[in-house]
Amino acid sequence: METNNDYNFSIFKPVNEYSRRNRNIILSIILIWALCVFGFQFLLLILEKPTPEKALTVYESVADHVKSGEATVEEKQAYTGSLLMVLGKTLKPDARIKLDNALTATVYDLIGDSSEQEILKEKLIPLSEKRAELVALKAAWDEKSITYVEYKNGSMALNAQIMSLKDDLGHFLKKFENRLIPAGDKFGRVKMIWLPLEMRASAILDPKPVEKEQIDQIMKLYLTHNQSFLTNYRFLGFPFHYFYTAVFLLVLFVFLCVMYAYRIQHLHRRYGMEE
Amino acid sequence: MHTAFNTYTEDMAWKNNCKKMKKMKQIASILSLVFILFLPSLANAAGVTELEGSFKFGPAIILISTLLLFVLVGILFRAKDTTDFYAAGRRISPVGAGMAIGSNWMSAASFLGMAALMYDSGYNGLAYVVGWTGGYVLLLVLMAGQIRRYGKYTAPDFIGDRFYSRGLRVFSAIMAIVISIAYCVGQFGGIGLMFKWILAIDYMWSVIIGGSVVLLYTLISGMLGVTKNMQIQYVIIIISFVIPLFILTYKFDYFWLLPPMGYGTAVSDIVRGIPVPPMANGMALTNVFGNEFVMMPSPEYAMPWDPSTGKSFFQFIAIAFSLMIGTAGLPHVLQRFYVVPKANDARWSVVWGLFFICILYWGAPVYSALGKILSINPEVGSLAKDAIVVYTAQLGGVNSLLVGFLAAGAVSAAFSTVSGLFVAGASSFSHDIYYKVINPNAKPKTQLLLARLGTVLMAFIVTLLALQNFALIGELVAAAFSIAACTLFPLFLLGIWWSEANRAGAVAGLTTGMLVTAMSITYFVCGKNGILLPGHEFISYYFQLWYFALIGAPLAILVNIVVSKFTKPTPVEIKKFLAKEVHAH
Repeated sequence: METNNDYNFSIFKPVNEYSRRNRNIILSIILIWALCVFGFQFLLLILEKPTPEKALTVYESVADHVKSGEATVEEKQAYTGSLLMVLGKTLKPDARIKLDNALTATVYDLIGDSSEQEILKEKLIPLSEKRAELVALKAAWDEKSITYVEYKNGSMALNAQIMSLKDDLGHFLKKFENRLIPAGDKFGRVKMIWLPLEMRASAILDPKPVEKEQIDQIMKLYLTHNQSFLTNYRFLGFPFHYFYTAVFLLVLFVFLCVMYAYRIQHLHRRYGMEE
Repeated sequence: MHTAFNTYTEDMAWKNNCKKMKKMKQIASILSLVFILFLPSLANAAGVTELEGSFKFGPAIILISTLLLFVLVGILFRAKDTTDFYAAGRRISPVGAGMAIGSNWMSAASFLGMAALMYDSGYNGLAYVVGWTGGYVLLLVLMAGQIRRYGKYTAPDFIGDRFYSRGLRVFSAIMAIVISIAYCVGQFGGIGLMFKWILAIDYMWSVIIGGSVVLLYTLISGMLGVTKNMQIQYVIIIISFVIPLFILTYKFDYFWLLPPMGYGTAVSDIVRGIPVPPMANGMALTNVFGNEFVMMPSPEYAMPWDPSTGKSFFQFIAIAFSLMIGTAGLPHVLQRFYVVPKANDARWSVVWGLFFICILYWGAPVYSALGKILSINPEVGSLAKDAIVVYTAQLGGVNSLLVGFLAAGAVSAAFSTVSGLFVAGASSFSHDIYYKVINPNAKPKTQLLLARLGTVLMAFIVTLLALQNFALIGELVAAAFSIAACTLFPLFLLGIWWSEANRAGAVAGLTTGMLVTAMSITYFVCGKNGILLPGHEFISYYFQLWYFALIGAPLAILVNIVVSKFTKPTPVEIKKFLAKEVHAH
């Protein structure tokens, strides 16, 4: 007479040698899998330390002087440079606007000569107007008050105009390269590419006090990173932790699957359980 | 007698092979004709460089030819009866099934969405890479062979039978449909983006046109065609994805012989910055717009849970975990194990499937890294992150025909997954709800008709949801994984591995999983519409739609165990079947 408990089983309570071995294979694979996937991420978390980029240290050393208006030319250059180091990253739009305004005001100040400042203003105003038109066009499309074709054609035309105005501004700013970017700056070339892209007329036409606390927060947010020797060590060109997660773990998963399939096949043969 | 029978079956197999060869030749002839007719136009179209804005003729022809191929294969290998429709006649080899698993798996989320997530949130995007591959280890060791040995057609079939409950069959069938719909929404988004890119039409029309084509194809073919198509789609997906990687790494001076290793230096370049562009033939390397291949140091791209990405360690772990266990609970993935002849084949099909999947998953971060550098200049403009794979190839100056082929690969990826999901959803509707519950005397023809009606209904709902543009493709698909992880995974896990899991426990566990799911969806939808419910901050963080399974799935398992312990035990015949047939005790 069969009772309900005769066929009870669970993975943790094997009833014979086959199921004990089967359980051991399964649990050992799952253990390796869990340790390698989650264990490594916990290790990263334990070892990491918030590490500032050099640009943040530079920024913090000059920001107070720029805010109080006591900064030297070198300090303003350092300030501009550290802002550009952040503006070269992918930023949230509101953060970008704040940094753009601070950058434009400092660059305007660094140019110094009033007639050159006027020329800068003349070049910036149409550029900012076109950018505003582009934003308005996008908003109109989002609200579906214009057709897709109108939006598409309008944005293409505006982008072409913006590109041309930006190039013109870039040529103008090139004249002041030595005044804006310190000589020997490793990223000087990249900064000169970014500079005309980030200038805004509103910062000159309607100047507002530098929102230092907000800029401090943005700079800290974008220039501090969780780092440790696992992230700093390079392996086959990769930061080690990146290689581990993006490449090695996938190799491990395939390896674990192959191992399991072979071992189970072998187990089934041994116990005469092949289909 | 035995010899005569063998001779007869060999003869039949030979005849079948001849028929298949003939069909393949017909397909090849038609496609050759299409390419010959349009070759001059393709050559002229090769110079197109705009990211958006204009109709791309060459890529359009490639896409149309690819779709034509799928429909032709679907027609020629179409389902003749219900066994064909649901389980491809159970005659697919492990390598073929592995390719089908790979193709079925490699959706728009893998092809487009993964690179987008890494492009958007850096290291945290890797949680999706790890989650969508690591789950296969669980699937293999805990599910594949056992499910095949249980011998049912669909996931609700298994649940209804194992927990001896018609109600659970219906509820799990409904969940299977919900999961399929959630999964398809992201796919339709991907199809829409690619159709928009090629046809230069509004996103809404792109989704409607693309959705109609995939619906038509699934209706014509059913799963036999789908399985055959999936093998072809796998080849198209991988070739289209990999070729631009070699070109891009070669062009930008990285180790191009093995791009998934060579891009390591690109990741380090992003972290340290590129102050001076690499030179080729005395010229600075640029993207297609002439922006130099330079960038400021951006360690936030590669550093773990960087504050500027707004992502945390908890979210990384939650996403990886939810995707992993969700993988082992997805009906359309589990259904793949019913199409192989034996449990051993089911296991090897997973091994092959994972290997085929990893080929693409090793490559996706390459697009993300190179895309980051190539698109960093604001002059490039704001790009749809979900299309970054295609934009990267375009910005890197890859020939537009190859970019078109890449877009066709993305559409193939979405198509293969959508058709598999539609079949899984339609099976749940016609087989698990109508045939098993409503009308057990239904003829196969009626079931097939209902499966097709169910498919149309699903396509309609998915189109409506895809037009809402809720989130990134990868995130939308991740939601389907969390739903599967909270509802079906606990039933499969305990149903297979714990004979004392009974009907009452299953009902309680499934109810818990469904409540957590409903709560997460409600908070997400309300949040999207500006309605803040009590505890919004807490729920939106710990039960976020993309990863609520981190808490929801263990909770559902716990409830299932506790209730099973204190209620009427599982009938002896089910325990006996599990012990003897599934676990071979």
